[in-house]
Amino acid sequence: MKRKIGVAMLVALTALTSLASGALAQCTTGMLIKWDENAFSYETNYNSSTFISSAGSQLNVVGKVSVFCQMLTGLDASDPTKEYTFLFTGLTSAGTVGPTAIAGGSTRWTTNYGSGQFFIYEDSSPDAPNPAAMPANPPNGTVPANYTDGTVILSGNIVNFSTTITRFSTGTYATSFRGDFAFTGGTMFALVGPEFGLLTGAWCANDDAAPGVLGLCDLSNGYSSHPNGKFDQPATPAQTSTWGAIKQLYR
Amino acid sequence: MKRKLVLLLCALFIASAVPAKAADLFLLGFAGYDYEDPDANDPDADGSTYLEVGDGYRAVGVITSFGATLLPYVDQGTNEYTFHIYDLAVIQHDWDAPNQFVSVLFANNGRIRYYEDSIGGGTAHNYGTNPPNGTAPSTFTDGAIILGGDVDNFALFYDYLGAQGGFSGQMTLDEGTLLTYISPAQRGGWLIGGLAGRPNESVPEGYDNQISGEARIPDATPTRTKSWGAVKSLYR
Repeated sequence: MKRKIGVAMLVALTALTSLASGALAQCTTGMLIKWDENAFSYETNYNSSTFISSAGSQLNVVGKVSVFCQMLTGLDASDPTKEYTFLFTGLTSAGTVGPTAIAGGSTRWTTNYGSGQFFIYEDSSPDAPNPAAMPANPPNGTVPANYTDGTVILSGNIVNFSTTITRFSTGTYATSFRGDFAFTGGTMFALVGPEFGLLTGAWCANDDAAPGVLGLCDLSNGYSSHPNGKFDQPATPAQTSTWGAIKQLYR
Repeated sequence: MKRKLVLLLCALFIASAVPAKAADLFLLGFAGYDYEDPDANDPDADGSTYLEVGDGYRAVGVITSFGATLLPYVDQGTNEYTFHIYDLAVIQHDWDAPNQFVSVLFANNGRIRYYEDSIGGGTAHNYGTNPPNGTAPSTFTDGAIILGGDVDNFALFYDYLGAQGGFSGQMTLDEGTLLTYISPAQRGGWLIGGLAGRPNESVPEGYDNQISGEARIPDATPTRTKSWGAVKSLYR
């Protein structure tokens, strides 16, 4: 047993010492895992013309990691021989609340989702689709399959996931998402441990409701949004939460 | 005939009333933190004093990845790439107390700049606390300006119940050492960002929110994928 722990620590140390200096330069306070261009969401019952996610709709998010930071800097997301992809799944919509009129002329749509899971994969045969030409109407032959091949290096739970879409009085839009995550498994779990943190970022909703308008994204049919975001973990994790929420993260 | 002309003019007017964008390409992604400067009231007990009329919005951070347009001209192994958003003055502030929601509009002619600074010979970015301070924005604005642009139609919201917000704005690139690699037709781009405020242990003291976002530019050969229903709805 001791030998196994020793080997695991050696693997972890080796990963840490093979730091990619570029990754460090791209990292910033709090950031653990970041994704940018290649990430998309889709749901089983979502109307992209009204931003309404029906209660019970299942949300999935697929994407490709741009950069790893902190204890994961040994992983090089820019290595052309590999790709690091992820899937958020099992997130059940409580139904979109909105459109809600806001003082000043803005309009808001908010959607809360029940708890779900995430999986991060290392794939030595990069095959994630070109984000500029995502295959329509997922799930299909490529999505999520080409994001979920390879080895699960990290996995865990997601709670308190919610999205907000706002239309300003000027007619432009802005968007966001936020949730909490906890690591529970994966081949590289030893590097991160059972820590929890924030999932945050922009939730650029499909622009079917207002094609070409600032703040929304032009997406292939069947996708509800293009999120740009990150797994965040403070250097000294100390997040305010409830016991209920913490217990839920590890169930 | 006259009626058709009037309808056509009306349609053109409506179309031009809202800032629009063409089919687009990912230019770069970023992450960082934002703060108010100037700021009439600090700290903000709630959204009633957050980004009041006359306050300024600023953000600093790092570029986390580049899209295909700029990737051949950058080296993230030897350089640090940072950004600074500034000169955004609030002209409209609406606080909705029952919904705990603030929406803010800004005057045109804000600015965003992206910088390249050698990891070996430069100064690493440092947020410090209570910006502006001795290291922020200065350690984010040292090095060469690789791109910069004017920011118009910038708008921001923050939902205090959900502890999240977002922004968007139009960006017209007009300076920098890499500007030459972006065709004139592609220099009118846009910014999107998501915000995560407190409770959030990562946010340095004196900053307001974490930012995660990206800049996009128009596709050189724009094509848009839409369902027939969406296309038909455009003409109804």
